[in-house]
Amino acid sequence: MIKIRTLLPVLAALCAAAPAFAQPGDAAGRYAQAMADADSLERYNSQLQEQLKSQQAEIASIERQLTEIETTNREVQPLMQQMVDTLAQIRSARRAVPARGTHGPRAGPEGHDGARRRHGLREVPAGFSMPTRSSSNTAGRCLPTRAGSVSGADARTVEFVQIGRVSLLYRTIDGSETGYYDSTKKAWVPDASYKEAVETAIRVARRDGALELLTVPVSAPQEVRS
Amino acid sequence: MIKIRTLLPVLAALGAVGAPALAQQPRATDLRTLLQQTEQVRAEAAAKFDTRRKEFEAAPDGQKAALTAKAEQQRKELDTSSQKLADTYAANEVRINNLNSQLRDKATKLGLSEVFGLARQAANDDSTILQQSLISTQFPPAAGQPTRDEWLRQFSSARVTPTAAELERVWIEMLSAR
Repeated sequence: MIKIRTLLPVLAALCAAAPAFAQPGDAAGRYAQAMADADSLERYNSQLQEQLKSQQAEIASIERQLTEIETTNREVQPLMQQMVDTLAQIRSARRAVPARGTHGPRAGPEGHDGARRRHGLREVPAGFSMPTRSSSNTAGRCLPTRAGSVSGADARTVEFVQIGRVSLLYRTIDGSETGYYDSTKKAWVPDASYKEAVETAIRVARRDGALELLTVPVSAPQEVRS
Repeated sequence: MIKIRTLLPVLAALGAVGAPALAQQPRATDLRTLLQQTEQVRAEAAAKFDTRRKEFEAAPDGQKAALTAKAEQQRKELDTSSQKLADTYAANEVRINNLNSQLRDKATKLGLSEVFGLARQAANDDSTILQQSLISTQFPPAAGQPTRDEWLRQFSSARVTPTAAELERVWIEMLSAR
């Protein structure tokens, strides 16, 4: 922080500028002083005019707001009604979400896309279910785990672990197989190289182990949406 | 409490002394440079003063009185003009304060003050959530537009009363962030 004491020499030099010609004395001095005063007043007036322009703009803005606020008042009532109606729809939609542990395709009114949004993942396998995360913030930071089954030709009972928004992993109950969900291929991919990471993630999710850095498969971003 | 606005004419007067000359110099990056530049401005002003004295002394004796009268007349006119501008400034200040009071009273009377306050508070809270969100980069704003969290922050700190369209956008952004 700059202390006032540090600025004192600068202020002193600024103030010293005026007294240099404050005592004009003779006619030449009076003339030079009058010209210096005129220069200074001209600059002062110029700056004041800028401030007056700013004031005029502020006055115009407040006058406009005084008119617009009546329009806002008219439009806010239907808007608030719409908000209340939407809240009711959101509540009913959330009630339709299957409870934790429910297997099979989601039956919620938002369908598969709704499930993807809830889990915060870019792509969610059909029939996949995890505890609902309602906030964008918590969805990106959660580490839930649950038992379920991997669909496909060789269906098996597994334990899923979701790493925030970036990865969805599984491990069979006997621990013989681990893998991840490939959002590009839209399929579960067995991959033994992530065995240790999946086991660590499950331990952390169950709070059986300390927090650790995990190496997990991550799909590279392919597109952005607006 | 003394408002900054009240001090503006004083600052303008202070700035009028050396600001134009300072503005022509490169921006000072430390206090020592600033001090040097200020001293230089003072030296230039003193030099200009001396030049004018010499011009006056070099003028024929018959013109000296006219030169002085002209310079003093110019100073008087500018001083009058200054006074008028300062009066207008003060009158505008009173008008702005009155208009602001009218606006506040009207918002309270219409029951909108609380709505605006809550909307600003919610916008501020949600801007923080969106700023910390890990997926914000997947939803970029349109070209030339501020990001969602920036817009919410601007809304929450704006001094102007919100319009219905802005309130609706806050609501939509809140729904999107949940």
